[in-house]
Amino acid sequence: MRRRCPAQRGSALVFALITVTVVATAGAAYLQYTTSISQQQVATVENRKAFYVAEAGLAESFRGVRLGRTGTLGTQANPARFGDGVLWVEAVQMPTGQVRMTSTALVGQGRASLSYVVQPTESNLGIFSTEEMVIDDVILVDGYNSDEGSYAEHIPSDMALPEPIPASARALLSEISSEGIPKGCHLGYHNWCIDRYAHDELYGEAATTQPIDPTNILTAEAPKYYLGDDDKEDDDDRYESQTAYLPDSGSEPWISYTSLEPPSFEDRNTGLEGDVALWRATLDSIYEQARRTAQQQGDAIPMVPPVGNHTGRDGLLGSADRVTFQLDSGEIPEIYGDIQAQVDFQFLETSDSDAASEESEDPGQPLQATVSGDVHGNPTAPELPQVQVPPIPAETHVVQADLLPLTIPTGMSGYASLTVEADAEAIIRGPATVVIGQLTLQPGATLTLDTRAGEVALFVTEGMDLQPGSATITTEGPSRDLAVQVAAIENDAEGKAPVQLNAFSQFHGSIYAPETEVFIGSDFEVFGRVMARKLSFGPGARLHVDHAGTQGSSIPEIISWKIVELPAQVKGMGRNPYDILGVSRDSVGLLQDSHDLSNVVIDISYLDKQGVEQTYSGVEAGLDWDQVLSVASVQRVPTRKLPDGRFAGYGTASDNTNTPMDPADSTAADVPVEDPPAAAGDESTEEDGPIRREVAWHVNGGIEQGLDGMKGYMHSRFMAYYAPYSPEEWALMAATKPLLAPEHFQYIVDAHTAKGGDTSLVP
Amino acid sequence: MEVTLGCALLSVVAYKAHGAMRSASDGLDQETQRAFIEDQARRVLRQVGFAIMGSNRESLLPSSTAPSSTNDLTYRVNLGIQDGAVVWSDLNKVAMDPEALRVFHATNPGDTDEQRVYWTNLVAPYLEGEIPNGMDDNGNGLIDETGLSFAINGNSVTIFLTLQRLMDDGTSFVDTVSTVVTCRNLGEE
Repeated sequence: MRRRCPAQRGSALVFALITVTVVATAGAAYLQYTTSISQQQVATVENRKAFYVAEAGLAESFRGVRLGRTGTLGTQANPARFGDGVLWVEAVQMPTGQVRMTSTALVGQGRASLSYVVQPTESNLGIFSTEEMVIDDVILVDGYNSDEGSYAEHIPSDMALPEPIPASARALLSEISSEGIPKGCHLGYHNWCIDRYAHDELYGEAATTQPIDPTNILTAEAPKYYLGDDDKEDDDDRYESQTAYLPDSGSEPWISYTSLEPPSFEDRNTGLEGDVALWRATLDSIYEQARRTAQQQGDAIPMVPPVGNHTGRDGLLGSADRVTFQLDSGEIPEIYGDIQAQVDFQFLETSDSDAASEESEDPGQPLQATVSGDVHGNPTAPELPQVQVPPIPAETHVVQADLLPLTIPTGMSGYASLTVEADAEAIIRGPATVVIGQLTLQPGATLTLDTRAGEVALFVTEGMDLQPGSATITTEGPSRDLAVQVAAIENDAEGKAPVQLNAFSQFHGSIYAPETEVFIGSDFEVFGRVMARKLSFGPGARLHVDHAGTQGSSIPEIISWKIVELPAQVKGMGRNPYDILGVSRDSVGLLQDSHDLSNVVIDISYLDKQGVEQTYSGVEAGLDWDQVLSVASVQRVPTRKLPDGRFAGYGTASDNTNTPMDPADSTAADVPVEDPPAAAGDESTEEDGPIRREVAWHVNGGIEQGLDGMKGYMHSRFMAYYAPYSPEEWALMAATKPLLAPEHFQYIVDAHTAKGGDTSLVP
Repeated sequence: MEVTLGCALLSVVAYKAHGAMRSASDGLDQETQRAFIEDQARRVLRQVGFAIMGSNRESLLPSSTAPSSTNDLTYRVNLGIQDGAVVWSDLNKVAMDPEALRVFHATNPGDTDEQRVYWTNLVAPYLEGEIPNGMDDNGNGLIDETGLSFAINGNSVTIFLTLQRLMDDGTSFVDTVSTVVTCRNLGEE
């Protein structure tokens, strides 16, 4: 065997090493490549996950805003956990009232930051009761938007034509003609109604007793009347005698006008103070009146009168409980719009008119109500904040029986009671805030709520009895100009509702009675909104929901969605979000538990887990929800963070006007929500919460009253704190100072001084 | 003799090694191309999707609904809020250039100051499985749709994209992706 040359020893090793090196290099390159591809795919997936986690944060924040919370979810230092990542949402209220929500999410090395800008919207509940609403007669519910035109302009043209008067209705009209037409109203094709007092003063006639010629139904000489909108003599003012003709058959109705010599300017204005109120009654109301008259006289009612013209849309009937239709055969309520409640239908079997109704449920019976929209339950039962009656002294009992009207001046007024007797009139001129204990209109009395110059806020604390035959005149216009708010009032011993609206009226306004039962009579036609603990209606009630300034929904409107730049702190390429943020995974809460409640004030009544009834008022963060077994009532008072770092509150039930709060004031957050003291001198010495509340109350009311009119004291209770005022805010208060009682304004200054605020700019 | 045998064996080993290396290289190359196409398709789809997500639904033009589709979409995006109102951008456009087979994003399309950014130059003339015959060949509900196609349904836009790369040896790599995105900005301009 030949020995290998020593120089050749190890040559195979070289080949082997080269081969191994090449293979290893190729393997490493391939491994690196596949790793790179894999990392790219992982990064893509994680970025996509981060995007959707951020979207989830926006959705949860949006839900929080809808529930009246701030929208803030966690913080960068204390994020929320969701899916494979973490996120936080910062919600900031912008000066425009909009809320900007910025959601930042980290999933692995994926990052996303998205923003919403939403506009919290005023909730329009339409015709709403917190308790079950029982509809046991024909009513009409439809809707319109007074910002877009009058109600009449919303009626489709093919429906706005005068309806033929059925023979039976003519017979009824003939019957009542001998009794005279209801006060405040004259028959005619156009049915202009003139303020009775004004007419009487001008012409010395009994405007309410014009007879109807029964041989020519609806042909009657209407009184001479003045058509003008103010106390100035304009070219378009008319002084006419009107005769309306509606032939028995055939031709169209027509009106004959006879021009009259106008009264002298002095005559016209004597005792009127420029307040000649006109409003339009519809033929349907006359039908209804005829029907009721026949009913009262025990006559047979030959027909259910037509509900009359309607817009055919946008009605909104709702209840936090359910809506129950209890109807006789042939009675068909007409709901042109949605019902937001659980709907029950109960069919009433009536053997004769005098017998008690026998109620029977017939699930097979089809719904005997015209509902043009959707019928669905409320996803979140709305809660109506309590009425906060402004602390205006109301000690005087007033009985108005004079021929000259009682004019309640602009500004703030209070009465322990106000009774308007027959043939007398009371006028409330806006802008005004009026507190009345018991308000009574006797038959023949007139209450005029004049909002032409400003909004009227009427607070009723003991009862409201607008008796049949009385009249309530409101200015035709946006319903938001007139708000009647009723404090909590129990029903009387007989169970009668403490708010009885039986006046003849075309009421343009809102009625808010969250703790009180309200009855709306047949003649009280509502153009606006009604929210009450319990609602009942007279036959033929007509309710027209005004959607002005609302969207018919409490869902905030999304103004903007945008992908935004990531915060600088999270732009790193680290893989673990917890390490990047410097937080422990165990300390991070779930998304739904991360709502910022530190600046949300809550009023809640609940049963705890021991079954004991409890109440809590204060910041929601201080409430241990784990101890809550069931909730009897809850109200949240949301606040928003302003760009300058302060917080401001706004009400879910009213507008977005804000009173600034001071988040740096740690004691402020602990102040329970309480009713404001009756006067500045009543301030509590316990803590300084009530003092602040008093201050905020008056400031809020004053500024709103002065600058924006009566924009709802409903949310005044939300303004529980006050902040050191800026020069601009002082200027606002100075501008409204005349509307604040001097002691109130001084009280604000004193409280502000006590708080350590700079008063050098105090006017 | 030993040397001859050794060289022969080495040659065989080298040939086999070369074959193996070539096969691995080809596989790697194909894998690379496939991954590249897939990655680019998803990236372009994501870019197009984000553009449409942030756009104003009212601004989307043309409004082609299935079975017709379009290979270009003009829109405005949300630049932010000023005085409570959204500020909308100038017109943007995402489109396919059917001649150059490229997908581009343009600002101020049609104007003298139009600016284009090309997102890919691998777009196929027609979506995978589709041929221009007036029929829905690939069963996606669209007729004769191009390599980049948009179909609008309400507030949502369905995006189809096929990328294709032809190799020197005649082989091709194709990847088709699609998604449905919803315009988040529904307000009026």
